[in-house]
Amino acid sequence: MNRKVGRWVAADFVVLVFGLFPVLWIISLSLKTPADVGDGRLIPS
Amino acid sequence: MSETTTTPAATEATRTPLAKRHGGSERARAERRLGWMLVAPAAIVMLAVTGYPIIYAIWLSLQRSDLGRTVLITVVSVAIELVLGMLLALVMHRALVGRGLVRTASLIPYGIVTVVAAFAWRLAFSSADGGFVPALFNWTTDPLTKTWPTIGIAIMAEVWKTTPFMALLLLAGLSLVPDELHEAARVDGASAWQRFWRITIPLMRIPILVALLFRTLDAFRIFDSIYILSNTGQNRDVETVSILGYNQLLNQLNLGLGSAISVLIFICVALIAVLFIKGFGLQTSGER
Repeated sequence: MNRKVGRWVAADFVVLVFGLFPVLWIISLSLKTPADVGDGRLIPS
Repeated sequence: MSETTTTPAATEATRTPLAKRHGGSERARAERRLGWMLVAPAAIVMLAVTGYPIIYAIWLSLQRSDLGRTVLITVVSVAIELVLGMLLALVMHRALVGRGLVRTASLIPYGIVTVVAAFAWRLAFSSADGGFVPALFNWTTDPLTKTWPTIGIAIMAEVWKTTPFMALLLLAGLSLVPDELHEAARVDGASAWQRFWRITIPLMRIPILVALLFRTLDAFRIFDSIYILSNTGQNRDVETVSILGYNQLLNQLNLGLGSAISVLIFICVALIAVLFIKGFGLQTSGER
């Protein structure tokens, strides 16, 4: 049962990364100034 | 007196039904021929005016392989979306933990404006715009300056954006599959893989076809992602039919050709719909 739950947690994690990582990137872009948009950093300074 | 007089016109009128049955009198045929001849110049001009842009648009789209590129993008993106959408739907349907969180998180991409998503993918992958992906993998060239990487990134952006929609449609189909059938098959010793292929997929045939139809129609008209990733439609090597129509209509002001391309896109979309409905048997129960 624990193994089954572990598999579902892993599946949930993959779905969350697939769905939310680009969203976090968009949010990160929205927090940057126009001069910093092209700085190549994932997290705004 | 007028009641009894038989005029030549009246005589002609009494003969008309018989004449019609035999293809008309010689005089009627001559009049019809004259009518066609009088109308012919105007009809030929009208056909040339409307037909030439359509024929030229077909030729242009075939010459520039825009149609083939659009079909390729449509087929690849819809195929990936179907597989990922089915996996996502299964996770959303059967997840033991965090089902609400997964359902909410997975639907967020579909709520993001396509242009915003396309800009985010461009700013992530473009070396010229300082994207983090080329820096992360030490790519020396900008992927968005090359044809196939740009198409690949556009497909990825489309897949990310619209897989939740596909999953939502498939989730509705999954909820129609009775659990009793799975239980019975499990008791009979069927594996999860066998239950999926022998029970779930056959019962989900109509929802799958509906999802494929919706997404194929949508993917064929792809515009935003390609437009943004190809530097606002300037990179002609990644042009799709929608971008071709836009460039002809608004950039080059070829109003006839641009309109003809729009009509062609509509005809293609209608053909896809007919293919799905008639060819793949996507009919409502009342039509069977």
